[in-house]
Amino acid sequence: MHFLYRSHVMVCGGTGCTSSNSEKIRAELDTKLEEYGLQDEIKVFKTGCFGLCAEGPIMMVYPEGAMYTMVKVEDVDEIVREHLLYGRPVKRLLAGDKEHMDITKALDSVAFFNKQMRVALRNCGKINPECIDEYIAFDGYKALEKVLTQMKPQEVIDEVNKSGLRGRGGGGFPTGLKWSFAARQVGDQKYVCCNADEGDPGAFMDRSVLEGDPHSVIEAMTIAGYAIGSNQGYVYVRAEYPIAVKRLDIAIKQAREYGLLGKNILESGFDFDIEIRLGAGAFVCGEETALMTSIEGHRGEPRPRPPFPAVKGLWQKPTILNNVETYANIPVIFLKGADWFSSIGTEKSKGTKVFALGGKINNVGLVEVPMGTTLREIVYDIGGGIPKGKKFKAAQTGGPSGGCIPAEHLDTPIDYDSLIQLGSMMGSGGLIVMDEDTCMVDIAKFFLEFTVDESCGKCPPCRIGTKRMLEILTRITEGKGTEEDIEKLEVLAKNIKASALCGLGQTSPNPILSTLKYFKDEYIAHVRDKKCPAGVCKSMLHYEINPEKCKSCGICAKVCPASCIKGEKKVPYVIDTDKCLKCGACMQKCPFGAISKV
Amino acid sequence: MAMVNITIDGKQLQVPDSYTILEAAREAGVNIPTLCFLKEINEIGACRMCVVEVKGSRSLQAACVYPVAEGLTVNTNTPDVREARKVTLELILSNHDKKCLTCVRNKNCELQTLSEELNIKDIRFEGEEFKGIVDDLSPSIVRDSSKCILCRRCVSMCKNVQTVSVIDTMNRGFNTIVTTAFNKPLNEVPCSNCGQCIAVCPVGALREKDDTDKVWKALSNPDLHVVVQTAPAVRVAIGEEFGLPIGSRVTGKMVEALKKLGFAKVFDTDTAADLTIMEEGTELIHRIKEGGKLPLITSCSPGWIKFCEHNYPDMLDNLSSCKSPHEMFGAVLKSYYAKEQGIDPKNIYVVSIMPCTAKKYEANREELSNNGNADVDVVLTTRELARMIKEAGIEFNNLTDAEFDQPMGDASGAGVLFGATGGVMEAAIRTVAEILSGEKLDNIDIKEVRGTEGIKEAEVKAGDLILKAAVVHGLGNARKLIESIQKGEKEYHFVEIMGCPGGCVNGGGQPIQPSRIRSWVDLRKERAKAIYEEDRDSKIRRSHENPIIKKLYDEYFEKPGSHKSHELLHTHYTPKPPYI
Amino acid sequence: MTVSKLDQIRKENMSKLKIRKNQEGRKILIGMGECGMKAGAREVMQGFLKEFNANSIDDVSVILTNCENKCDLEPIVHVFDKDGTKTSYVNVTPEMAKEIVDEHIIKGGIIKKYAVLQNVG
Repeated sequence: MHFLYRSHVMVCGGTGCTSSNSEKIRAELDTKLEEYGLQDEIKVFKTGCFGLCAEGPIMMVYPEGAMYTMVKVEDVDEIVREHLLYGRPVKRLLAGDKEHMDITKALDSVAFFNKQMRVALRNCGKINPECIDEYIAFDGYKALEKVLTQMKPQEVIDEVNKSGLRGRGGGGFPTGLKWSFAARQVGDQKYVCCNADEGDPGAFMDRSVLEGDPHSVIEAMTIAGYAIGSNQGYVYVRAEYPIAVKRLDIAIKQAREYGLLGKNILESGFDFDIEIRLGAGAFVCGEETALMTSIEGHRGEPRPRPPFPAVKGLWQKPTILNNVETYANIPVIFLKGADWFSSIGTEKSKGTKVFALGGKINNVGLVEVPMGTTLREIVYDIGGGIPKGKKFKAAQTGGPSGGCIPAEHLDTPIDYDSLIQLGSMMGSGGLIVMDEDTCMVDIAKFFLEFTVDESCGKCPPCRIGTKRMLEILTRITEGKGTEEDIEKLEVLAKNIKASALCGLGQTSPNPILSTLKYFKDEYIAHVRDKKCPAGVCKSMLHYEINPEKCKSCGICAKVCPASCIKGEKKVPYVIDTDKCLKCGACMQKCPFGAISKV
Repeated sequence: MAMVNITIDGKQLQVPDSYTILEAAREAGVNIPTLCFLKEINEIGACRMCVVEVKGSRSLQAACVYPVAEGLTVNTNTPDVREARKVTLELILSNHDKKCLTCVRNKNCELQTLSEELNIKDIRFEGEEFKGIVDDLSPSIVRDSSKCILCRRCVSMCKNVQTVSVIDTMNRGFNTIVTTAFNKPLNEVPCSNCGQCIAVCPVGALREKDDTDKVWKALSNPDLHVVVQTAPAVRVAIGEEFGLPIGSRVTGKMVEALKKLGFAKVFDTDTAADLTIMEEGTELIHRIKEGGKLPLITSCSPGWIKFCEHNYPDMLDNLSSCKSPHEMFGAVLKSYYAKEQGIDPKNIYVVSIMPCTAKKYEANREELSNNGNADVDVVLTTRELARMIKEAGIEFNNLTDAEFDQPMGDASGAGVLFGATGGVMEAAIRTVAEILSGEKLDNIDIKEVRGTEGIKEAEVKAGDLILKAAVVHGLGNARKLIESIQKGEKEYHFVEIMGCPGGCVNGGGQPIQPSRIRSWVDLRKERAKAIYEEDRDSKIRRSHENPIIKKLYDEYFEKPGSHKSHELLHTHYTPKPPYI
Repeated sequence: MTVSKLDQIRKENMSKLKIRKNQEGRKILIGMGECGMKAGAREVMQGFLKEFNANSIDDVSVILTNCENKCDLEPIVHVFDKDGTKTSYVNVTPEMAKEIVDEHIIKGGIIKKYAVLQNVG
């Protein structure tokens, strides 16, 4: 005899929504439910990321499936009273078709949701990540059950191979193949590692999985351990993800309490346990060998390969390292079958991919789509298009290791190989959209700044080479570049790509090579004409007052922080370009549109 | 060990499967350029100079760490490979303090050599240069990170070989610097001053403290009686500074050069080594007979002494109280010799030429003085002496051989053995075994203590006693042995510890050989060979048979271990905290 | 932890969480709003909840709606069967709630004497 609630209110407890007070919203909900006497009928739950981060904090009311967005603590009283007590959903905060007759169908027409296919994120938004019973209820640990009681290790690897799953961290290496390399090594100790270092700027797919569904990773790692013959796993999480670390820690403890981690799991005779290892602020520790070196207690610097980690990895033992999202897919493959998984996606890229949409796009947030979805669908249908009606210029995938895809390739179906052919790469899933107001040289500089800061410093091509590339780009954006500089960039890019010790260095020239490939005209404009076509590089633009439009109202002079605008009644105002800080305040405030960026 | 078939530059060859591409290429007659590589000490594939094209690999691979495998196909000389190496070298040069003309490693610098061999005509990528720091507070070692190329050889040597671990990389990316904890100067961290970091540095980022100015000044001071003594290891190595082959014996030329430089007397530290054997041998016999602290551990390596004071203060009582040979000699010169020659000890200036940087620190120790007058006034390394010889315009290779000066110019072959690992032990055994047994040894070549094995053990019959001895070289091995002694796993009567791998012949002050030589020629073996030849060719080969030693005791010290000996020839040690 | 215990935990919790799965199927819509409240719809709803709990019925959603401007018929309860058939009961009382649960929801038989409107699915 158990007590059933008539309504569950799920409130997103991801980092994004938490920093917008979702915890306070939860507390307020509890308070208000008591106030209105509803606490025996309705329960509030913390849950994972719904994906529509641009509109957070997000709340979902079941059984209606009504989604509330941009909820503030002050709104809670109204929601509880109007919706939960009186049955009158608060339309102004509802997502989707607010006027729909049937509230349970309000979200059906929302492309952001109906075009997605949530596999890795299947439980995010559905369960309380801090409750193992909920995970179990949603078919959690059922895959592990099947694997341990009905399958042999080789059969497990065969199934993963059949599914066609490829690494979701960026490399796209066939997961089953990686496991088979480690499985065939003979040794007394092997390791299963999870790469949760997620360092690409703008990427938070792995964070959301760990915050919203940590057990899926635990279950997957246990399955992997069984497959390769390992009984010890490590999750390497970046320290900048405190909520993820906490959720994972709770999940591991709960799994241990239930005997789903530890000795003789489900009476199978198989032992497996997992420990968390924290990163310490280095992007390079997302690189396979650097990650292992860091776990070993040394400076997180990459090591030369061969030998490959599957042969000699952590403490020189056979080790597999997979990304969080890769693991999140594993239980589903065993529950629904490799055939089901491989029916999704393209010929060489199976399954779905989680993307973190960022930049100049309306629906900033997390989306999961089948491989093969076109960039256009992601940007316009799911992403809601470019804000302020601006024109799409390019989308950057793969973070600092990737490249940009211009408008002419919007209809490219996204998969591992098609992106590489375009000069970019899938990367971990960060997808940054840029509009006509973005300077592509500046974008390349942005990514190089990141790379220079994060280079470990072990090899000269990356340590010094990326710095030199950044110096050249900086010169170019300051209007001091020459055509020879572009040649130097190309020489540096080619050789750094060939010689650098690890993936960070080898892919560091990609943003430059990619922007040079598709937007060379912008580079030429910067070095030859000393102009920034997008109007971004401050040194090369100046603000001008059109004397014909100027009405001498003096507002510009008043708002100018540098006091560099002079004029008087009936005489057009003039900007002293030497003193001008190019902040743009005058242009913003001019009521007559007389000031422009040139 | 299996063999594999590989192809290098179109040539097929068979090599052991434990080889790297670099080793295999050497057999094919191809010398792939390297910078950070130093065999068995630093094999990390960091500098990317040795990149080669490996069929099937997307990017270029580092030959120094890439293992061979059946069917491997490598091209070491394609246009792309050459371009990649040049760009990498230009990048390193763009971040280097290129003041070669005033650099101590001018003409003996691996970066210079590479720049010449790779035909660098232009540095296309100039930009910010990372400045770093200059630390010259240590009496032995000077660090200048503006010249550092971050090859990490010094880190590897200090951390993995010597296990002292006072330097490591700090910060990351362009701001990476090799430095001490909290950027403290070397004299405030438990640096043993062994100078092995200098010996492996390919450029001028690490060098010895230069004290030649002091010596030039003393030599031109008419009031001072400037005498010089030379360690055994110097005479088998200094020739390398003048282009002679490794392991050349140049004793006579060295003495003649010193005389030409203007030293009043040129003495041989080996003489004092014989004295040390008498004192230490007596100390050992005394401890064995009277139940004193065993094992007795040698104390002539100041790098080892400082290491012991920092890390194993509870072993200090095991150390021999004997001063090191050159310090003993200094004490003798400023007492017995001063009296005999009628010179005021205050006007005697003692210069020691040593293969050692730690001895610069040692000479400054307060305990090693008498009435405020330091036993040894200044220590010069082999390298500094070579510089003085060159500066004076002396044509070393054309010198005629000269003899050490009297009254203390004779040394036994046992004394010269001090330069090699196992040498002190062998010299001591020759004397102690004969004293204890009362009989002359048939064979005084005690081969068990010779060689480059890290830890060597020997058991020698000495009368009724079976003398259990151990010899270690390199501080990493010292650590291992000390800990096994502390744990009670091992028991010895007598232990010889030398701080530098291979002993003094491979000391931190010896001529620096670049990796392309060091990686394939064992300096320790070659120079030690010369030491053993010097011993073999000596007239007297036992310390106690040296007539000068007999005279010293008869006329001054009475007997080994006497009150006077203890006053002048013995010292004490103090535990030192790790960080100041 | 054994397999059977795990399956048991799964079953127990699945029941509690069925409410979150987008179930096409059985639900009851109860007209609330202010007039529904005044007419006693809350007590009716609580009656239904009590019966659901007592009978471990975990696959029928309870959804409140605004008042439908049929104030004299309130409390109104629309019952939706799995096939979409909609049956409307008017002037429902907590006692009727029990009957509706027993007869209609559990046994599947529409209580004709109470049913007013019926749209076949």
